[in-house]
Amino acid sequence: MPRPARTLSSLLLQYLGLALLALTLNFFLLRLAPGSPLLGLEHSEIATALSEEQKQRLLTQYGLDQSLLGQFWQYAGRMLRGDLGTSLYYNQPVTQAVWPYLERTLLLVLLGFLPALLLGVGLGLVSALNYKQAWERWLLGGLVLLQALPPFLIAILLLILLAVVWPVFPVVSTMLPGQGLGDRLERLALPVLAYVLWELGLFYLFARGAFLSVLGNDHMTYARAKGLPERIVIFRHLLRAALPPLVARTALILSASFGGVFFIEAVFGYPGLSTLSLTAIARFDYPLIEGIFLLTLGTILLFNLLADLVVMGLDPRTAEGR
Amino acid sequence: MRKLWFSLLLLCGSALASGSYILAQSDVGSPAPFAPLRQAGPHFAVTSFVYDTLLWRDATRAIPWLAQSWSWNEARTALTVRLRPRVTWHDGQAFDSGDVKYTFELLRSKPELSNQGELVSTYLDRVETPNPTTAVFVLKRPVLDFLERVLGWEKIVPEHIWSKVTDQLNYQGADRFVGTGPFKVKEYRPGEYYLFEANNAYFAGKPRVDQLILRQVSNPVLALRQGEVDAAPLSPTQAKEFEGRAGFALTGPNPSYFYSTVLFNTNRAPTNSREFRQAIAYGINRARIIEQGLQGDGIPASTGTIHPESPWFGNQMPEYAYNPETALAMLQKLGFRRQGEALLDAQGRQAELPIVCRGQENVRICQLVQQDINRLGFKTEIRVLETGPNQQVLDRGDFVINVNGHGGTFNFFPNPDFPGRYYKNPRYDELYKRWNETTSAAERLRAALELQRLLAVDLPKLTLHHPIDRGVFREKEGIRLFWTKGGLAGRGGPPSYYNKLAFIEGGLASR
Repeated sequence: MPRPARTLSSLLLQYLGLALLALTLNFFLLRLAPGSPLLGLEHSEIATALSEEQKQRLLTQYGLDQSLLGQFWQYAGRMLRGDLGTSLYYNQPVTQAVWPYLERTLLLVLLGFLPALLLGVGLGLVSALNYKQAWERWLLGGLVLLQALPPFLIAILLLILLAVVWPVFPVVSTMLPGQGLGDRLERLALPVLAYVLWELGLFYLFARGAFLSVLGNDHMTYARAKGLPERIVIFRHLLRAALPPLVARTALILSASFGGVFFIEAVFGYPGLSTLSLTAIARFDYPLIEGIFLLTLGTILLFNLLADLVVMGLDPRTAEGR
Repeated sequence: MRKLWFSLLLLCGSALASGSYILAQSDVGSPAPFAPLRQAGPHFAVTSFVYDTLLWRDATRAIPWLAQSWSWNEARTALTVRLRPRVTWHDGQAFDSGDVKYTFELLRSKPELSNQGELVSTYLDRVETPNPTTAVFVLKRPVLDFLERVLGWEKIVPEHIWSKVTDQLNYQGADRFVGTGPFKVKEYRPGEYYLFEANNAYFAGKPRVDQLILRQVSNPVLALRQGEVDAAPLSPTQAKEFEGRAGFALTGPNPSYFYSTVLFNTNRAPTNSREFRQAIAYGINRARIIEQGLQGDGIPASTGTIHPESPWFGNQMPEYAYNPETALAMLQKLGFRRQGEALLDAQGRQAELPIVCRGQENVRICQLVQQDINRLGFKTEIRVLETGPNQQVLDRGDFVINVNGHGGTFNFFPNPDFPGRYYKNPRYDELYKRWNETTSAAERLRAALELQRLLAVDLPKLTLHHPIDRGVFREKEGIRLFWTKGGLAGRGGPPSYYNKLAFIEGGLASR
């Protein structure tokens, strides 16, 4: 087998192993945590002290009366068939329960990620090309500060400033019947802005670092010494050399952003996956938590795999295992 | 610029204003009738706009609803219910006694479909239907509150739809939302809103609005202020800004059916001593907890554990008014002694009283309880656990003091230290059995009062307070929200300001 193909197959095997490990941990970690889907009944507004018969009947209804191993085989069988099961709390297929929330989270990530990436990398490039100039230091300081702020704090500040003190944007993120994409975008403006500000500093810092490390290389000095126009030096030599680490880090940031976006959603009450996850966790809705986790994990693994493949394509040395 | 945005926002609001009303309401899943894990709270209020029960409740009492009248036989084993004639389902089919029989026999055979299904299967033998407007409930033995607890709770579903379904719990057909209620389900958008459309053929009167929207909002105060919703329940502190504001009206305050409690582990020292528990009760300043932990938005709970709106409530219970001197005197009788600021036990060691706190939401209350216990000279530390791990701690008995809280405070629990299960008292068991099974109203009340006194004196748990809230609503379309004393269904049902009577005109609603 040629070396690049071997590297690719070993990469795919790594991802497969990772996915299997995650599937197993996903099941056992949740079930081993103390709690039960029936706990919600005992702590509701009309708390019910369930009799043993009631408990048993409900557990049988939800297939939770079997041994842990028995439940695991059922779970593994469902996963192999691509069936995420039925939510215990919502009484509907997990895919059906998750989709509306996932769709909204993806919309928020998509709308926030692209501007943050383009602006961050653009500012990073400008900053690297003007290294050590006074205004560049101010820019660096400002964006380091921004990057240090946790996402929920940025979200709270935006909410207070732009929805309460100066009510330019609506305070409610949920839609009303009959409202369309325009309204969705208006209600998304603040969460998206929070996302952009949160990721901007990170993109800027790693882009600036990547460009500066390439700018110091001999081939850049050589390209300039040859008298190539600055446009060609930047686009053909600088960007090309900096691209593999940029792509790899971008995929990592995108994967990690699912964590931060949950905080942003929670602050704005945006009905994305965070809302659903909190309910699923509070209610010990095992299939639903498993489904959310698997979909999130699948997205993260997919982005990482794509990044690895793109890097392999851009930099032949990685495909050859060097 | 700011004015322009405001105008645009107002315009957005007014596009929906005509003939619609928006309630702040968390998403509780699809408004299907069978949902045992969701049913015990707001889900009941949401679905009550779509489905009806045989009995309903106005502001203070149970009223006939799908049932027009009823009568018991002398032995109280057969309840004859005369149904309201000319009631139709949302799909135009006629409602009759067959639907009632189907609903209750389904619950009898599958009690897991409802969290009160156990009552149906335990007490109901069969339902007879001598004619389309009469249903006779034949019980296995006399039950005092079958009428309110069962007929006031279970929503009647159409036989012509559900009898064709085998897995009622997970049925996803569009016709699962067919009810007889004042509103039909037009759209459910998970995480965002329920859109209900008026059922103009409603037997109890025409709905006041064409559209009723139940919308999830994270901050109801701001949502009300900016016209994003028309009504929301708020704490009295939050509601203050709407007092006297044009266009708004307020109702309440009313005490929630939740309460916070201090659970004592009666199986281990030192909390296995009744006198010790009473001493701690004297040492906890419950008024200060309400003032500082709830910003005053609460009322003290009865030490007898029963909610003041409950028909079983006894108002003559020991109060354990805050008195650290009494607490210390009682502790000294038990062998403890003060040395400077510290309290030493009988062996001369620093007395310790660890506190387990259920959930981050209780931390402030735990800290206030801790401060009071520290003042008595105990050494304390707080461990915060979420509901699942905390229940494990309760089940294992691995705690001394557990700061907890729950609803369901209208009735007694079979385990008096609920959600713990360590306190055992044969007298409690005997009284509970009598309260649960007697068919004499007077005897039941006597048992209830004795149960409360026993709990208040023996103190397996010290009840702290009920939070209070207010209903804030926009006055439009003739809608005036009100508090349903005793909850929406039966006695101690889900508490809510969203009673469907407020949303229908005249007719039965004006009763």
